Amino acid sequence: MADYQSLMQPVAQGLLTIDAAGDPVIVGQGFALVERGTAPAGDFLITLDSGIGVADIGSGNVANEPGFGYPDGTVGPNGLDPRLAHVSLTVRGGTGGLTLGATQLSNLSASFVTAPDTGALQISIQTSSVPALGGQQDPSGPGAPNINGSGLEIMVWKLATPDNVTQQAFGPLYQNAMQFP
Amino acid sequence: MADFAATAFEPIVQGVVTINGAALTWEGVGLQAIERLGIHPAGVYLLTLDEGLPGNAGAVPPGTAPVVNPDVRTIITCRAPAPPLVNPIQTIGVLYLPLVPLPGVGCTFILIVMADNTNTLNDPIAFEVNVFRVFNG
Repeated sequence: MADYQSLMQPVAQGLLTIDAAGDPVIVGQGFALVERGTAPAGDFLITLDSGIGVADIGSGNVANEPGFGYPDGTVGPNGLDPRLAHVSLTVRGGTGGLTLGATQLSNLSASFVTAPDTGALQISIQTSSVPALGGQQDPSGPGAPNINGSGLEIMVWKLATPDNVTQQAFGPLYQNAMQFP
Repeated sequence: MADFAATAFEPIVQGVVTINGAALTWEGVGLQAIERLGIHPAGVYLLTLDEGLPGNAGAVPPGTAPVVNPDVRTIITCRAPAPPLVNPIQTIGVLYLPLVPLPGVGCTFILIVMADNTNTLNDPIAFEVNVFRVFNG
């Protein structure tokens, strides 16, 4: 049944840039640490503040759902339930490209890194252009904008409860799946 | 240091830009104008904030270079009117321009740039714009 409402609770936001030394930096709230992942560029591992999911205390034992990397199903006070968390990524425009404000980054992705009995404590973010334009790259140059941009805006929020929808195998709704003449 | 999720998103602009040839139509709140920029016939849009928004009051400092502004976040989502029409846009960039460098006046213009899969400036059918002011303490 439709509930016609959804509660959006902001939990973190920031602007990810690259400093003059080539290290990632985040200005914002809700993030404790940003570091590079395994790739030399365009791969970032961001650790959320402790207590970021404090409202999730006691909500444990949610179902294990394929695709979410969520093996245990328990959410602790420091983690997020990845089924209810959402991420927005927006590239700050750069210089030297098609025009001021353009970017070559076309592929942006985020995934939650979870831990047993805790939930998601980290977010992994990848930024890349198509292979012909260089593939995986940072969203800015070291200490200055470049052809890829001048940073990456990140917003993270969570919903209060799931209201999942899947495609109907038989439809429309309220019509009997089997009818006889 | 942990701040225990004490952040907030304050919406200051939200709406839909519909593109019909050269014409741009804005349906939403928070903007007083949207126009194409200069010599670019497609893919570049200059948005002017309503007077009185936090950006006009200096809460969204544009800085001296078109780079780091820590106090505003934007979400852009392309729309298509019908399932057979595929959105051509592959890259989207947003920039907060210091076009009005008056003391005490913040960012009043937002530049949005879109390109397609041939790395050419191009228009979508329509796109949603959501701008939030954030608070960094």
